Amino acid sequence: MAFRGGRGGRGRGRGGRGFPVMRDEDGMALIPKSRDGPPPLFPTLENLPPLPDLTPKDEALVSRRRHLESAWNVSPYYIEKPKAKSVGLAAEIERYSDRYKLSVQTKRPPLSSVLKLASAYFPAELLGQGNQKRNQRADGAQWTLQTGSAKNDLQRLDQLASLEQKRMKDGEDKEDVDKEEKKKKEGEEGDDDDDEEKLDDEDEEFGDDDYAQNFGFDDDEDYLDMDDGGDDEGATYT
Amino acid sequence: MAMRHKCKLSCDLIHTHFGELVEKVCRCLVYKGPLVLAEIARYTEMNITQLRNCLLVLVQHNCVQGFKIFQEAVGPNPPKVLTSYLGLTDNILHRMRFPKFLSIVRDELGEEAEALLEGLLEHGRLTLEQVVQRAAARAGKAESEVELPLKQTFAALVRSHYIERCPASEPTVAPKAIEPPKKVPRGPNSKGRAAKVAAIKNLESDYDRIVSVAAALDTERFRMPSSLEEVGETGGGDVSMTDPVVPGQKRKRDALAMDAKTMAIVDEKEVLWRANYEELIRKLRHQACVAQVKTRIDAAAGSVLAAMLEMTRSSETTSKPQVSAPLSMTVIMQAVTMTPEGRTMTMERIRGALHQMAQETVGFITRTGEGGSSYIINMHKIIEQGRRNEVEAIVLQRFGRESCRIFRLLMMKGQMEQKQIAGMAMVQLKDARELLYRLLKEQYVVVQEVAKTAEHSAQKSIYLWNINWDVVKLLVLDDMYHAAGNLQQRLSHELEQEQEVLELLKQIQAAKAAGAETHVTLTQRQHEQVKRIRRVASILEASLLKLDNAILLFYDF
Repeated sequence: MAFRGGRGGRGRGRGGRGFPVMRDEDGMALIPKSRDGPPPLFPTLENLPPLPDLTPKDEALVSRRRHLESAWNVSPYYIEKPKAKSVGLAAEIERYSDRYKLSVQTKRPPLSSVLKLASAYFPAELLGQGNQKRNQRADGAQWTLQTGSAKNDLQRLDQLASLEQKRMKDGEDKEDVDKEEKKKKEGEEGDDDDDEEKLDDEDEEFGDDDYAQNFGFDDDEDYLDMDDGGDDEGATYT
Repeated sequence: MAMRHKCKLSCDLIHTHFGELVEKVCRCLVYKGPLVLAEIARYTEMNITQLRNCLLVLVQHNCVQGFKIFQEAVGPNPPKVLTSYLGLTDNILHRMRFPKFLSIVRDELGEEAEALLEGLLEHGRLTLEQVVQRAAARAGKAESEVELPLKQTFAALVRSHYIERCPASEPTVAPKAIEPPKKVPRGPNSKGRAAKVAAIKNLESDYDRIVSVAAALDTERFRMPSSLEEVGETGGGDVSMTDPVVPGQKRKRDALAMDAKTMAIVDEKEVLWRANYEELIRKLRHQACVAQVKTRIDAAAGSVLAAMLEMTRSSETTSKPQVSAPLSMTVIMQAVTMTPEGRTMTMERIRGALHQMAQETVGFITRTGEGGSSYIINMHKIIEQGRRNEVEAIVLQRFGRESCRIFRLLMMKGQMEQKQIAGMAMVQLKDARELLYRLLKEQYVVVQEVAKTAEHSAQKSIYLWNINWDVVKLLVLDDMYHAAGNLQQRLSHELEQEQEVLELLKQIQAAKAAGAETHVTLTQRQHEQVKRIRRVASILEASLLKLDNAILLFYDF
């Protein structure tokens, strides 16, 4: 990529040596005066266009875009990277910021609640073992994830701009109840993933059962041998 | 080159919408072409469950198409059928245009249709049942209340082809034609460019082939679910297929009625629907044509063209038609008088507008048929004109007035020498030379050497300057993808910078929503920051949407 960029860049924005050579009408080559040093990396732009004015149409399009984006960020389609801090030492340290951080991660419903996992719609090998339950929420809460407090940054700005805000209080009360239930379900799924990772770690460290049994077992047969070995190693040079 | 920035932009979009992991998978598919699951796992180094989930999300949102290829027996291994995945960059880039799609549907079919389409765009694919559930949940009403009006809106959307049935999940594609993507040759000169264009065309044909194999026939795509056939207006629906009920024997009819019922249930629960990007882009194309004609001729001609395009819309079979179907004079008159703007236009006015558009120099319409009574719209000409205007504006902005004059001169006249160019463009010879070489550096023009003697000595050759229009179009398109990628990145960068203030804002609003007292307030400086980021974000997003119009003009139209 850098190589290609370099070659392309040399043809484009750099100083005038090399191909193509400027020629006047008689075919004489004209070599422009060489500059001192390389040309500036970010030359100053003289005629910057003025900032655009936003028409109401533009505003409408922008607000629709923000609406869609925030919906996607909250939906089960947004797949989070498993946080490195969920296992190991970092998880055990309770941080001050955790208290005030509002995270959306644990509140996401699983993918199976919105996707119809059947072979008619998805290639068979993606469906896995086929024992993923369809946790379809009876009250259709997965459709209303976005209405409520979880919003995109930009949408929050939109709200701040407009003084009258419609709050769907009913939807929120329902949401609180649902969030707890969803958390439990999500917790189950999260646990499964964690267990898998932990198992891998354990396997690496301990290996098979027979060896694991003897790990750390120290009978005292080698007591004297080790002393001799120690003497040998620690031989002093006189 | 046109692919690189396009791929980067599509990966950026997926990152903003679906997160890092899905973007990893998408990047793998988009840069490396069609891959099998095992290969993707190797390249992305993700565990298999996560990879499956990411692919499920991508398929759900129509960004990836799976297809089967038949691998012949290699040595001791038996022949097997492998599922390969192809990244659909076009569909990914359509995600930028969702707001425009929503506004089209709103203008044409109303707010409920817009809400329905929004659901489909948000979730990628939904069954009719899920659509009803979603609407009920959002409105807070029972499903039975919203069902009937919703189904009417749904039927209207299917009739106007804005919604279609989803294609097959794993169609079989013939293996022979799938070659590994050809190595794209590199080089700064224009010869290399032409070879690049050819290589790109080759890749595109594979992509097109797989997509067309997956897509069903039009009759199947827009087949109304059987429960909706009696709902909505009758007449004009050439897409609804009725079940063949054999008259006569009562038992048989009952059995068939049962089948119809189960079919209706199956249709509602099992058939997935998605937004039909083709039709929506077609509508945008028509709007662009009308806008072009309005600026070039006048508003009346614009409304006449709009009416004509509306009439011929249903007869457009391909996604990028060059010309429309022929329309006779009477049909045009009828169509124009039906539109709100055209109602006040007299016959003479309409005739005059058509005459203006049909003139040789303009060539937007041509007369055909016996006695020249029918008219065909040359859409490709209108779009080409739009593209030319766009490129000239770019040259004007980047290189200045004189360069723009030289560029237009070369577009009109073809090959010319330096002296002639300077003379005709009324520019000093020295300046002309400078400007031409600057244009050459940016590859907007090309120079060809015509040697007078066999030794190709520079003094005795003529240098002819020319514009390679296809190459210029590709170049400009690439620049636009690059610009759009930059805009996206700048937007995320600006939001990241202000992350602290936005977190505070989040807390305040969360507290307000919960009805609790909050001790967090914003200082004056933070208020300023919020105001600034609001303005900046709006401008960046609006610019991205406007740039997208130009990208549509050069690629999708």
